[in-house]
Amino acid sequence: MTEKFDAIVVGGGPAGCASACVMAKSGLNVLLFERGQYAGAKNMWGGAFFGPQLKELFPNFREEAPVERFVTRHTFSFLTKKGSTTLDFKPAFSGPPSDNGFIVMRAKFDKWLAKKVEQAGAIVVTSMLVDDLLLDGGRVTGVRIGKEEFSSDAVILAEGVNGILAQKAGLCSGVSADNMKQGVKEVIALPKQTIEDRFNVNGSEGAAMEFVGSCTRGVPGGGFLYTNKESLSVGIVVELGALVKNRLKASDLLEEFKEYPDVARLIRGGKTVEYSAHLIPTGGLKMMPKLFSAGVLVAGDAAALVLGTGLILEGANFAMASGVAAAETVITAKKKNDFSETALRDYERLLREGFVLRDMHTFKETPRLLKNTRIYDLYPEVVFEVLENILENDGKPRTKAYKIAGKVIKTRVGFARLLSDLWAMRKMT
Amino acid sequence: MADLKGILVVGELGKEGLASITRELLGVARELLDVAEGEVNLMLIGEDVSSYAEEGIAFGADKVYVVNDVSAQEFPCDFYTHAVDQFCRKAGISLCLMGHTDLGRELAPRAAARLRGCICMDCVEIRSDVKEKEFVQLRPVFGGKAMAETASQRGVIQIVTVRHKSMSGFVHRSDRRGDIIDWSDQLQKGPVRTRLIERKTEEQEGVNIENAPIIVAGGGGIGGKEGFELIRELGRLLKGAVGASRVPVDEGWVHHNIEIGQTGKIVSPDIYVAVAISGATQHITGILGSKCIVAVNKDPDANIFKVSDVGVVADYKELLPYVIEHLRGASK
Amino acid sequence: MEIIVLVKEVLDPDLPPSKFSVDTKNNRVIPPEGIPPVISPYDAVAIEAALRIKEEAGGRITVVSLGNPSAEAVVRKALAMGADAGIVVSDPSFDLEDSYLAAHILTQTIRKIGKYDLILCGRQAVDWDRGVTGPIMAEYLAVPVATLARAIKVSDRSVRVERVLADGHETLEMDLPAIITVSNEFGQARIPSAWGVIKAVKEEIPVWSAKDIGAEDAQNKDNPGEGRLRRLYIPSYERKCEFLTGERPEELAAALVKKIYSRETASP
Ligand SMILES: Cc1cc2nc3c(=O)[nH]c(=O)nc-3n(C[C@H](O)[C@H](O)[C@H](O)COP(=O)(O)OP(=O)(O)OC[C@H]3O[C@@H](n4cnc5c(N)ncnc54)[C@H](O)[C@@H]3O)c2cc1C
Ligand SMILES: Cc1cc2nc3c(=O)[nH]c(=O)nc-3n(C[C@H](O)[C@H](O)[C@H](O)COP(=O)(O)OP(=O)(O)OC[C@H]3O[C@@H](n4cnc5c(N)ncnc54)[C@H](O)[C@@H]3O)c2cc1C
Ligand SMILES: Nc1ncnc2c1ncn2[C@@H]1O[C@H](COP(=O)(O)O)[C@@H](O)[C@H]1O
Repeated sequence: MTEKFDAIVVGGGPAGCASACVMAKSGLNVLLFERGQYAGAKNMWGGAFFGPQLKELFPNFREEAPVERFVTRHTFSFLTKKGSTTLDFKPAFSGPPSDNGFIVMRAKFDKWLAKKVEQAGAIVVTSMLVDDLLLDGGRVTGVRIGKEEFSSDAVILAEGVNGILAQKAGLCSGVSADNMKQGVKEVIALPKQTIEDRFNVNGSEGAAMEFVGSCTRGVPGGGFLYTNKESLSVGIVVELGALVKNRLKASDLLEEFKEYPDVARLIRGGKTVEYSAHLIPTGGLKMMPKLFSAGVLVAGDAAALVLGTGLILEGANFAMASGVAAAETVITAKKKNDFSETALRDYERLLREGFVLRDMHTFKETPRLLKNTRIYDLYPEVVFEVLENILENDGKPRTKAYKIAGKVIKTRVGFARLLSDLWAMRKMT
Repeated sequence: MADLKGILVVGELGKEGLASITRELLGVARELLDVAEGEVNLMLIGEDVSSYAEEGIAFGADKVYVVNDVSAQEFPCDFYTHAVDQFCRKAGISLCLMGHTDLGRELAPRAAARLRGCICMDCVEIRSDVKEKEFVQLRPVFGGKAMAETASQRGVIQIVTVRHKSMSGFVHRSDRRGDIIDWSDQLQKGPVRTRLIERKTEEQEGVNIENAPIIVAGGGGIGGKEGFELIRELGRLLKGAVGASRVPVDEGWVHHNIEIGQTGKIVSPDIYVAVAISGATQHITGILGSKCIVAVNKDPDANIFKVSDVGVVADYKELLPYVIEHLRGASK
Repeated sequence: MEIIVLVKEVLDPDLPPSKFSVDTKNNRVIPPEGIPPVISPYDAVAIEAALRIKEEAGGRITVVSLGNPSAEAVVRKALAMGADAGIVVSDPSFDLEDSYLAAHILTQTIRKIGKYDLILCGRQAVDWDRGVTGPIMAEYLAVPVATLARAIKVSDRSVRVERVLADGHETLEMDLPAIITVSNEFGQARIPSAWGVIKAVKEEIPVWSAKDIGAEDAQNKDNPGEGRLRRLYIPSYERKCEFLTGERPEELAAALVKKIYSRETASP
């Protein structure tokens, strides 16, 4: 067969699906390859989606998409061996929960996205691993699967973290463990009612909980717990480099995390029905590859477009937004029938005008700052000790809170270091 | 067809006389007479089958219908289908039992289609529910992940294939009395469509797996043909048969005739040693009758341990050479 | 050679037992969320068989699936492997659990298709594991049937089938048209090529209703089927496993041998 496509998308995650959908809707002849048995089969994540990208693409997603729960309660906990401190953010909503946080399971959600892509008119082919790019004098002209070749005007690489094809296209050169976080997650089944009672949520409401502190044993990262309809997603995300250096295993950290009273209490009696692990490119702008060259564009995790502000991890919305920008670039290029590197420069402009690159710039120091291990071991303890001193009545005369804080900080951290950390963190959140 | 009565057992012959499944079925049939009423009939088809009729009576038949006909061998399933169809109509049989064998798998649905009977394949249990006046069958479904219990429909003939060795033993009484009826001339032959050209037995390696008291079976974790040599050696030393799960068969490490499980052989040895077998339901369903299941697997969470009596968490490559050494020492 | 292959959409048999659940009140299997059904593996082998026959003798392969409208996916899979045309038979009035009814409806479908030389089925659909559809249809259509095929050889007006037996195999010969059910020993089903999938995606797959095939009365026919399903449940085969202990493989081996001998009636 010799049919030529306008665009070939590699990867059926949020980035790939969004781009394929937009291009197909505008009438382009689009082919999407996904290596999983179905889109989502190989994917995992914590589970909360931020940002209105989805709504923009699919105005009816609330009714259609397989959303587990809408985040109506967000907590941030600092864990120490002795106990924990938690901030519980629960806006008193009037009306339906906001579109700004919804919990989905990738296996179901990606499948739904892929269905939307098909409905838009693109061809989705699953169980197909794209193993190479077709090159013609430095220009990408299509992809190769085994012996089969597929040519197209443009190829969008939305292959997720590790970007092997992006490397083959010469857009980047491998990735280092220091720029990666490892995520491991378990899905723990619990009855709907139990979840609603334990998390104090009703109906489609849900909770998103983030944890930092001793649970990662000094490795930069944190834990999370999200409520699905009839299960919980519990996991940790930790820096790969430090993990390796400290000879720790993410799976062991997860086991420990599950034993913290704050977590154990919530998952009690549940049955683990799924376990998965995945890498996240959290190196920020510094690890970002070249985003395009003649005939090819990179989007989503493959382009390291993930924002890890420390408190939350945003990747899916960045992936979708970059996918859309790549799609729009290709649509314009098709009109002019010019897929040269210069013609595709629009992509970067679109990303800059949108929030993707702007946010990445705003938080460009974050990845480095997050490597400060005091965030994970020391500060949670400091907070806890201060509160412990204030709240625990040991029968002795009370001291003023700030004095307690001062004492603890002085002995545990040192003011100079605290100030410099605070100054640095200012850029982080 | 409201007053159906009696049971027909479709007989098969083994190497020495009646096939063991036929003996089992005769025993089962006797226990179902409370609902089936009437008698236990056995049908034997083939060349010179009259000589097996007495044996049928001893194992529980009240009447044995023999059809001596050489052409039965040429068109086996066609021939049986006509015979069973005609007999059941004439005798007004309420339950027709056969083994879930090479023959039964094909004969049962065909006969059922002609008789518009209720059909139930591969049952591991059949009993009568006297109160409801119905037969109740139990069969594994979804590759052994679930069990389905179905009931016959009153006034409709029930056609059932029964899994080998799944039911309690049979009773042999040489003083039992019964009638032997030659049905050869009564049978009106129907059209024949499928002709047998040849039949070949493929020798199983070592001890025959279906009747072996000990079976040593290897799975996907064995990793290749060489690994199976250890399994064979272990089998030899234990005087047992060698078996395999699906993976070694698909990979071509062993012949398919030693596959154990839903699509392979159903076994029930005294000791079943499962080496590097994960314990998928399709495999388990074939070994449940084993008196003692011993599992060797390097994964402590392997499903096989859930159904085992004895477990060893170990790499078989490290463990088996020592086991073999011990056994060699013991047999000296 | 006009070949019809019957394929059924089933719950993925490789699903781990932990994801398999039953609604014991309604005697139904609860389809696990997020895990799509698959083509029954033996049916995929039947398609493989059809493709090999076609490669040798030429012809056309039509794939038929009776089921929910979602069965379109398994038909497309067959098209991707190389089948020429596909049909989904679906009607809300069909009781899909009954094998007689399925055989009846599929027979009506075959009659509507009209011309055929060979009908291939899987040895059994891996949901209810019955293996009756092919033989029942052979009776309805009054054509010869051979089950559990591991090799098929067609010549002008006849076909030779090598049938798997418990202790060997037999060779059968039938005139065409005929029905054959295919076993896994036939070989592995091919994996569709990417272009195959693309071609399949674009194929139009008609959905035939009860009316289209003249099976409106299918429900009322005297089809006793499998009888009444009294109970469907997940069995527990659990035994209490005694784990042998020992630091080194030698110790474990010794413990194992001792255990085996103690269980064995006749020691060496
Ligand atoms: C534990 C964890 C928690 C997270 N939590 C959140 C969160 O709460 N919120 C959030 O917004 N983000 C979160 N993220 C990040 C988010 O999951 C990713 O940023 C997002 O999925 C990126 O989308 P993508 O489409 O670029 O890549 P992916 O989702 O990785 O999709 C890539 C797809 O390409 C396919 N593929 C790869 N190579 C090939 C090939 N050669 N041929 C064919 N197909 C191929 C893959 O199978 C995959 O389906 C989390 C990540 C992890 C690991
Ligand atoms: C329709 C259908 C019918 C089927 N019928 C059958 C059937 O009749 N019989 C059958 O067996 N299967 C059957 N199967 C296949 C079945 O589902 C499983 O895939 C199969 O049984 C797996 O075989 P296995 O456990 O040997 O191999 P694997 O799944 O590969 O498991 C290998 C095991 O070996 C262990 N292991 C690996 N290396 C070592 C080592 N060095 N030392 C010790 N342990 C090790 C591993 O921990 C693992 O548990 C059927 C499947 C389908 C879909
Ligand atoms: N609903 C169906 N649609 C198409 N083919 C079917 C259907 N049910 C059964 N078959 C075919 O008949 C074979 C045996 O099925 P069964 O008798 O249900 O075990 C299957 O492998 C299919 O080839």
